[in-house]
Amino acid sequence: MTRYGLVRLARPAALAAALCLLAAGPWSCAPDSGFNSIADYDVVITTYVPGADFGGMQTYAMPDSVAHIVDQDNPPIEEVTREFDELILATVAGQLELLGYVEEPDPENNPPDIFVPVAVSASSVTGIYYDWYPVWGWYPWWPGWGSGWGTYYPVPTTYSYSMGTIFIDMWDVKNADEGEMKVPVIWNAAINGVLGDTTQGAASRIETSIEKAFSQSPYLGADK
Amino acid sequence: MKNQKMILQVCCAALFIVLAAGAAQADDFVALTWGMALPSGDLKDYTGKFSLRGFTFEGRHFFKDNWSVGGSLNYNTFYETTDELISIENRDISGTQFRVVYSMPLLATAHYYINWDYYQKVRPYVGLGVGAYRMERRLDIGVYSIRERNWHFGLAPEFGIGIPFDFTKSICFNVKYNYAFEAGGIGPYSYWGFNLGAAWMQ
Repeated sequence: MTRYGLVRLARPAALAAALCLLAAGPWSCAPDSGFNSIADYDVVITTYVPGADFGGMQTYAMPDSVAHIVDQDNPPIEEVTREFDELILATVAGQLELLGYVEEPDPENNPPDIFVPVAVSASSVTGIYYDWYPVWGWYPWWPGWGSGWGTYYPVPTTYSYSMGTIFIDMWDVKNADEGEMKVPVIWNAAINGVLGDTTQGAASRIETSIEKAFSQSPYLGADK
Repeated sequence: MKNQKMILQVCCAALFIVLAAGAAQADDFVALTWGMALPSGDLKDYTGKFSLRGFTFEGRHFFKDNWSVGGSLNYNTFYETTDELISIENRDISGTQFRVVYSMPLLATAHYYINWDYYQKVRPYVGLGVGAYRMERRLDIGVYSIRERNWHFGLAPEFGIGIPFDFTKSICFNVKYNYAFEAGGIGPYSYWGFNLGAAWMQ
């Protein structure tokens, strides 16, 4: 290649280097997810049976306790406390009343139209994250080690967190199949969130999420 | 690791374009632009926010006074945090969601320059890019993340202007409509690109 050719290539090559820096920028600086608090990780999932006659229901009954489901084969690191059971039941009952459903005071003798059991469970997630450990800043006394130095082999970091889920079902007692001894579930809510919040924070998230489960189900209601 | 591999691919592609442009004879140009973008169609439904994250790099070779062919490498990131309800059949899902789409088109381009003249103060042109769009769509909700990556065939018609400030350098601005056809049951994706930058001619 002639000297002229090399000179001609120098500028495009410099531009390419600049581009490489530009290209690395957007990738390495991924946009911020905007998940700023533990509540941002809460998810509410509701499922309904299409065609179910929610308006044909007038009365409901609920158990006086929350079922705590524990997977004995794979027990969670952190169990869901019973501290919030009453709050969960009261919030669910409040939402049902707002929708026009009336609590049946004597469900044993007068079967209600719907039965609304509530359960909670916890699960733990553990994992190992491998990364190239940045040496810079940790061993400043070692001569010659500055910015850019890191370990040759990835260093494992373990993490774990516990998830709690509240399950709210709506059983169509009126249409129970007595021959098969089965009750159709016509609506279900699963509220999933990370455990470990403060008492006040957890209570607020529980209330908000239960309300959201009902508000995102506009087909529910005694007058529908 | 995957990101590092992708960066390497991008750098190789960029180097190829630049060296190809540099190795050619006179009347070549390279341009580096800041890429802004406005999503449209299905992409707008997924993430509607105007994007300021992007760039375009391109090389062109003039084979006639008014015509050039070349290649371009583009990159745009679209993202949005929303709590919009997701409804799938008889299921509704709510929660804070982070939606992001990365678009990386690698296009072969052709441009026609209207009234091309070295002494013109504004040099308008029209062009068309044809090639492959590397699209990645990600949804983070709760502690879950759903990610889909695909290559799509796509087109990018373009209108632009060059404002020269001497014989070899100019400011350039173009509007490009990017359309990546459906692939693997995903898409189509479309967005308007607004690119502002500098061009060097030799």
